[in-house]
Amino acid sequence: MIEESFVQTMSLTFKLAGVTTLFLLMIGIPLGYYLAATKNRLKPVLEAIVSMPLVLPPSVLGFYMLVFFSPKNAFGQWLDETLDLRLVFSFEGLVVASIIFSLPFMVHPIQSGFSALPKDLTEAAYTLGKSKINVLFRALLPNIRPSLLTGIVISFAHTVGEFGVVLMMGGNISGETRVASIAIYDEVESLNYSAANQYALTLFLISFAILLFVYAINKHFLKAELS
Amino acid sequence: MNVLHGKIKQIQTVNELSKIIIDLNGHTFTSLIIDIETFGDIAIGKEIKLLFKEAEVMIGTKESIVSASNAFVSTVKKINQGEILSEVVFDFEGNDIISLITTSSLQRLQIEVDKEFLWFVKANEVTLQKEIK
Amino acid sequence: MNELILSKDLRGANGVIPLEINTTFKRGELTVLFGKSGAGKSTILRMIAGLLEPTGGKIVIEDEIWYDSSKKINLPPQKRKVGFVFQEYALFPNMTVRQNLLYALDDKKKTFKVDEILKITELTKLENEKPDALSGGQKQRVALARALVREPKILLLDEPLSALDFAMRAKLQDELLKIQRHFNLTTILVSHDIGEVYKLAQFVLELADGKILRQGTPSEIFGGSKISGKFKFSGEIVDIAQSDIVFIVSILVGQDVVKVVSTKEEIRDLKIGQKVTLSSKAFNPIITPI
Repeated sequence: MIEESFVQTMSLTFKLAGVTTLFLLMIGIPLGYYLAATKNRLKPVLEAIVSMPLVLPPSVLGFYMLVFFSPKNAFGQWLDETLDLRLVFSFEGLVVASIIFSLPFMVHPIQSGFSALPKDLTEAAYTLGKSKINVLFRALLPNIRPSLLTGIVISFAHTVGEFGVVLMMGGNISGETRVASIAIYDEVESLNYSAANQYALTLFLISFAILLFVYAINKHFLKAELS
Repeated sequence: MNVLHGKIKQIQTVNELSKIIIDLNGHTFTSLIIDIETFGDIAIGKEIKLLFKEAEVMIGTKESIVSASNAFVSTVKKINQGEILSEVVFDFEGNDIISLITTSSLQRLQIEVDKEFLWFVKANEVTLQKEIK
Repeated sequence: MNELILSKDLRGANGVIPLEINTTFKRGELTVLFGKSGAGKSTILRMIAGLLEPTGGKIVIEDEIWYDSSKKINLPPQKRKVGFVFQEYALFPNMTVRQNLLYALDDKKKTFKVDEILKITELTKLENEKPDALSGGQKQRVALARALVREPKILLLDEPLSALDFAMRAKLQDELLKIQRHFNLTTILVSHDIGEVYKLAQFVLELADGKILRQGTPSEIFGGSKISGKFKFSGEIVDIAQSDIVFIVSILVGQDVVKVVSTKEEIRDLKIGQKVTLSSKAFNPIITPI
């Protein structure tokens, strides 16, 4: 028997991952393209900021976001009053936190995908009279499909599995912020091992399936490109 | 390659074929060339280089009469003898003229250093090169 | 008339070299930029195409001002009608041969133009292949075809054949010449291969360290017509070996190795890898029917 709370928690988990990935894709493409193309001296600074979540304990990030977005502080107050948006202990807040936390997992593959493309491609398209936007969508993005796919899937999987930031920012509100990784912790705390196992096993299998899919597809892509 | 410097003295052209007479310290050289127009601007009085391969230079005894337009008597300066081929170096007006002949011919004509021999090269073997400033 | 006045600092291995060019070249002619790598050849091409901005100067192509620093005119590459062919082809891997050409087409209704160019460049059979399935020579032919689709005012070729083997290079040189004459296209080709320059160039600009060293026809520059010999080939020395008291010099001419007898004095000035002109008088060759 699958409980209602399990279904609710799992669907919330995937909703969060899906929405986060969608936003990340919209941010990751221009950001990755910019980082791959720019010769700006401040590029290392931007790269360091994007990569911070890789090395920072999630609780540190979660803590600062909690403080920053809290309605008790200026920015949080402004969001609350002007946009009626409360990011602390809400689903929206989780999305924002997840975007920041998973940013490198989307930006890195896209950036290296763009970097690996010959510079000639962009210049050739310019000399053929094509605008920058046209070049990006018609001549460049179709040629980094494996990188895009990697970015999408890894970001999605990473968001599904994140714990620290979610716990700090979202807490554990059923149907609002309780995602699978939190639920496992919660069930174990209550010594409810079989329920914890249900979540854990589901995450384990889904993560494996996703990674299997990425490697299989990328192998197919690589083969198609080499033939 | 033998290289000599001279001045154009006379040009005679029949259709595409031209005979160029070149003066070299009072000696007269003849070169045959075709299609003189494509060679470009050459005129009487201009300096020109004459080039001919060592293997095209033949040797005869001093008294020989030959058809080659360019025939001169010079002293043998040096001989470099090989198994099949030999190089005979003549002193011509201070220039080295090298002739590449078979070693058997060298022996047959009894060519030796300090002796005088006739060396000659046919006009059609002489290539012209404009002086590069 | 086309006019080129350019200045730009070249950043090379030996520090900064100022590039200063002031020249004109004729409409419909094939001009070759010749010189060692680092002389600024590709930089000039990229400045004409608008991919690199000069520090100052003027670019006038077919009476149209593309760049003029004094009037603050600088057309973006998209507004300059150039056909640029890159050394590494720069074909879009996601598109077929035909799609690569269609992408270059401004008026999507005029697909007949693509068909015509595919036919001229003998690519019709390959039109549905992706670039990865093509040989180097075929790729470069597609790149040339794609450049032609835009009906460029000037064709810019950046060492397009240097990545190809001898046989393919010779074949594509012939095709390039045919196409250039067919469309009467003003063309600038970057090359460091004297043989290629002799074969293709109507006019040569020899560059060294960012300056024009010499300009003229290939024979004016390389002295080909200064030799009266009728049989003239340029080639590269691949071997020098002694036999008895003479030396046999092997010279690669096109794809054939020609052996020439030479003396000790002569080979003193020769070395393997050197580019040379081979010539013989019209009187020497023996003709036999085959």
